[in-house]
Amino acid sequence: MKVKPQAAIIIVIAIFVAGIAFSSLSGLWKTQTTKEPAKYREEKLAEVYNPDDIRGSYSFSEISNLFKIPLKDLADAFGLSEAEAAKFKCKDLETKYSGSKYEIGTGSVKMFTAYYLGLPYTPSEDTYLPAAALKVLKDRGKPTAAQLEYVSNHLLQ
Amino acid sequence: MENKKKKKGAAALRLAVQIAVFALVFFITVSKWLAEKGITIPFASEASLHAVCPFGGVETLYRLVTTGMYVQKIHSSSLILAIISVVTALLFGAIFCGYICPFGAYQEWIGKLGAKLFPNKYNKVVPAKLDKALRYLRYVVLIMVIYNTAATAKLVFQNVDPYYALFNFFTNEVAVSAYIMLAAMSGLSLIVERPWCKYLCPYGALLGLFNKIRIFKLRRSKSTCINCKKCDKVCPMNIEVSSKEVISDLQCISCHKCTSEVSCPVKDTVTISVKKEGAAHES
Repeated sequence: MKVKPQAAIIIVIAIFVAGIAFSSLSGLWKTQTTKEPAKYREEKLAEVYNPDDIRGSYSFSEISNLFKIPLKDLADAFGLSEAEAAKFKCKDLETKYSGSKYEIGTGSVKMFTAYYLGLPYTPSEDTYLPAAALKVLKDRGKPTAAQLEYVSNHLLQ
Repeated sequence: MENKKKKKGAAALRLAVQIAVFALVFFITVSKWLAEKGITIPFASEASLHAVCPFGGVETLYRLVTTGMYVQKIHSSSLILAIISVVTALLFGAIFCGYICPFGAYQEWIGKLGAKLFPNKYNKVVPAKLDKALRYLRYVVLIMVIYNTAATAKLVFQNVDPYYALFNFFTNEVAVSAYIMLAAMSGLSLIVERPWCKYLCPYGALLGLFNKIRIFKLRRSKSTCINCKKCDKVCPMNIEVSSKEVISDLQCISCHKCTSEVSCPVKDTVTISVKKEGAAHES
């Protein structure tokens, strides 16, 4: 069976169009965040949202609603006013802390959220938090002793 | 005369597809950028460039299998496009690279200028031994990208991705290293055809593997070949088509420039087919 180049590319385009159409109709095609993070796989935490699935496009108020963390606590931890924090997106932290020695970004929000709630989360070695976050975690969160110690060693002074 | 028209038709269709995909990807990037500034283009999705890149689907696989989550910035659309690309690669090899990839098209268009500026040196400057060794680099890149993405759950490749830099050059989301890579690849494209595809592209490396098992193979008929070597001259990846009966080279991008419908002057000599012509009679 022979195929001409023109036919080959038409078949390929048809496969792409059909594949996208089918996945769209079946609800599988997603090009944006659903604003509903994945839940933990562990049975004990099966109904709990996993902070590891927080995306850069999540605003602080969305995180506050999803994880039931007061917006003020998020704002205080990352050096924002409560009004600023409402629409502030995780990915905007990279710009806010762009001159810093260590990166403060979406990973930092994941770590803060998980530790605030005392949930398991393994940050990458280069994930840091602003210094103010430690006090918020200590005074208002439920971090484990190990988590607090980890944060103490990963603070942006 | 009619044959010449047909040949032009195949090449024109390929160019039309390349331009259409390039324009579509650029439109997607601009719509997303405008949406972030509060300007919404009617009927335009707010999808990011990552959402329509099939390589993102490959990068996220490990994390998806082990945690059920996607890597940052990647969505199900990337995975679906990756699956579709694999299906097309199983049929026609790395045809995604030859027809659809906008960064491949970009290099090709710069290369046309390079071929005019340096007609004698274009695509012949890298010594054969060095060229051969460098072509394995993209597998090193592929392994490094997959490993580092799995280890960090971040799109580490974005920091050196010239494709991302090309389509997001006007945003503030591009790392300096990606701009440098884009500049290097743009400059190199003036003297080497598709340098990114040949030496560094991890996605091309992956799709190229399917050239070994593709259903519709590129074949050269020894019995009708006149050894004019036109197929070798037009191959952007410098594959010596004239010395093979089945072109299953890992570097083949299935651009079909070597085929009898495009460049080969003899009808039915370089073709795309499931079985060798006359194989049924031979067996």
